[in-house]
Amino acid sequence: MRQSNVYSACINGTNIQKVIVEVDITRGIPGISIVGMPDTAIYEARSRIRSAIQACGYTMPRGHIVINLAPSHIRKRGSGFDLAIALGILLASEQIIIPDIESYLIVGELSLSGQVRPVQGMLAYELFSKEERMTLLSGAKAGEALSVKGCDRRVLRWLSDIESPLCALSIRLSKAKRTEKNFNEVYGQDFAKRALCIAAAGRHSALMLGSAGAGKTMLAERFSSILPKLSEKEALESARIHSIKGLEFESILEGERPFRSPHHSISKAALIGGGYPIRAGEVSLAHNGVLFMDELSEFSHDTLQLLRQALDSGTISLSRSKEQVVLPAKFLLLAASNPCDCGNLYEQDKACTCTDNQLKRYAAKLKGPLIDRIDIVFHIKRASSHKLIAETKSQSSEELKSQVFKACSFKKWREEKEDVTCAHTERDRALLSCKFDRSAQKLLEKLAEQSALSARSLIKVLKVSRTIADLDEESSVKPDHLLEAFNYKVV
Amino acid sequence: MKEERFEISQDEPEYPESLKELEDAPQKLYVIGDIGLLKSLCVSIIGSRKSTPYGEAAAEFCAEVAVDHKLTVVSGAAIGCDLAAGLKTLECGGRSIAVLGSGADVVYPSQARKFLERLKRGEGLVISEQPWGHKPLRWTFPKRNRIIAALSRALIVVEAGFKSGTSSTAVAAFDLGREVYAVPGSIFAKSSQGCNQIISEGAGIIVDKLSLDVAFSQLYESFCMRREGEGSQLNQADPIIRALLSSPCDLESLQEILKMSSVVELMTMMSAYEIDGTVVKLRDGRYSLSSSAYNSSLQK
Repeated sequence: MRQSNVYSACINGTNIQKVIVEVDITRGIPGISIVGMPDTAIYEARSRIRSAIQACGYTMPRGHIVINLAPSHIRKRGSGFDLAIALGILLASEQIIIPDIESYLIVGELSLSGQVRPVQGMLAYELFSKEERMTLLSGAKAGEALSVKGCDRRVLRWLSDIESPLCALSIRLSKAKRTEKNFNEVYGQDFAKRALCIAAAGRHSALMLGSAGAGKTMLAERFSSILPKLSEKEALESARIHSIKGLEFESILEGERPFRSPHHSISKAALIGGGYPIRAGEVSLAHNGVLFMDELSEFSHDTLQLLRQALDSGTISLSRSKEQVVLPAKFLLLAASNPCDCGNLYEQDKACTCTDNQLKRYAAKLKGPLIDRIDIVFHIKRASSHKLIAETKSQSSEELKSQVFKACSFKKWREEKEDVTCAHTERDRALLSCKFDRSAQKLLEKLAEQSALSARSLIKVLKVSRTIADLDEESSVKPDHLLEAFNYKVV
Repeated sequence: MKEERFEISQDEPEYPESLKELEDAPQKLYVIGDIGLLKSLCVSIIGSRKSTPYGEAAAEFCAEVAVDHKLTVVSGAAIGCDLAAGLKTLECGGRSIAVLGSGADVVYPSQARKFLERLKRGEGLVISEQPWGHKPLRWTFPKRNRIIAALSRALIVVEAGFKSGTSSTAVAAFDLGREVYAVPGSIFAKSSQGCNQIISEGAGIIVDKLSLDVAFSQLYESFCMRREGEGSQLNQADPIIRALLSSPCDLESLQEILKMSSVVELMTMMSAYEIDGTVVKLRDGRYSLSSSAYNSSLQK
């Protein structure tokens, strides 16, 4: 046999493309030519493959070797084809025999000494080979385990291991829980904790306003510790995106929700995704988790504008002349900002030096394009020193998490029971799910009349009050719930 | 009614005598509106631009009493206390003079546009020593403060922070031998430090309506034509109201004062008060009694 076909795959932006590696050895001037739109990394594979084959005791066949990567109209990227090409050459020159070669998906990079290395996005390849019902043949890092249940992944350490029985990678065992950041490390701030608890229970986007050093970032970092665990499906979705980007995803597989906090200098493409081929951005990395935007007012208007679609639909659709991609982006937005330019507006012992006009301008900037997507606004003040010292017990993440969990399951139960099909608008849905009794109805009328809330803000108050009632496991919203929700109003 | 513009120089009879007492009396006054008011009995009511509902309530209260005594209210038309005093004066049917730092035909600040237009159309008078079209500049405001001080026989400071332009007006009034009154505030409130300072330097204290009535009657030999007021009674037994009467508080301090463990309960109570108009949430996150609540607390 002077020809061979093996299967490999490469990541194209966010998708995985199956590629057939065809090897043909003909008589002619010795050399390797690769066709089928390879990139530089693949061209360079020629030298790696030559050294690896020889280092493992095989011989490089004499003659001209043509390697075709099909389908040929798609650009191929990365070093993952090394292993497939090398095995293809060995098969074509009849130095090795692999039965059922069509059932293998071969992805791996070679070192000069013939060692097989894994490439970026192994989890995505595992998912893909499971879908295709193929056996994944690849390298593995020391201590690496299988991430996707039901995927058959065989590991080669050296190129020559192909001749010995292939060892299957075993599934990752869930490790002892890492000590994650806990809310009981934040003293005081009972009001902020309550607000975050509501945000977590109802998946409301929230904005924290507070001076520098008030603890905004500290609270935000602990926010994901009170969110319900990821389901297995959600965990794989999020981990896949992280894996393709080459980021750590172990904690996600354990059920911890992703927490992303992009800096305010972030470019638009890095935030929502972009480039060619289109790669996922921060919003997709925050999928099923939290997107924390510190210093909200410092983000450029245009950047924030881009988030609106994601917040509405839970997806980002990107269109370029060559491709259209829809990326998942269902995240909870948590934003933080100073209350004013000097940052001291809420502090009683420090005077705010902003002029009235400055304050107005800042408020307008803060409102920006996102304010109508934010449900909860709350203020944070520096905890008083005696609270920092004297307080012995502070609400912990576990307490809050159990409240959130209770509320979520109650909400699920309530929604199953409810028939909201007759409600077409957001307002109808909110009103219907609240099930106001007479006293609450009266209060709502008064509230709408007196407080000069816009229709949109009023609906937000309704939605938040519904979540507060869920926290109390009440099927109808009571006046007290409505009053508390009024505290978090967005004006 | 069309705006009437005048330029009055020092030797003309319309030029108010009171201004001539100034060492650097303005050579020329540029005025728009009812010029007769320059000869009327005036009281100046001023206060901080960064006002709290307390300061605004005090300004409104003083303006109302001044109108009862048929006095013209002089002010700077700045946002906050000045504007509150001016608007309340017009609301009660009184007359008001706005002394501007910019040219009299320039609208500054923009929030006072409607108020200034009402004055120019005959409900009062807008006055400036700067020529027509002069822009508002940093140094023009301290200069106009001395005119506010000089125009009236009495100056009332309703609210002033520690370093405030209001203090310079008070100093000018002291120097001219005018009567200076101030509305005291909590010694813990930053927004009242200036006022309390002025009091410690010898200003009269406004204790209640009666004390202001007496002061006005003695100074201006005026009679009070009281209109009957309405208003609901404030529940002063409630610890929240008592705490807020002394100074605005944020939720954390209220929680400590009331020794409440449940944040939810406190938020619910504050919202209820906010909805019925007893308290307002300030933009710095603190809660304060609303100006109407302050005024109803004065009615015995």
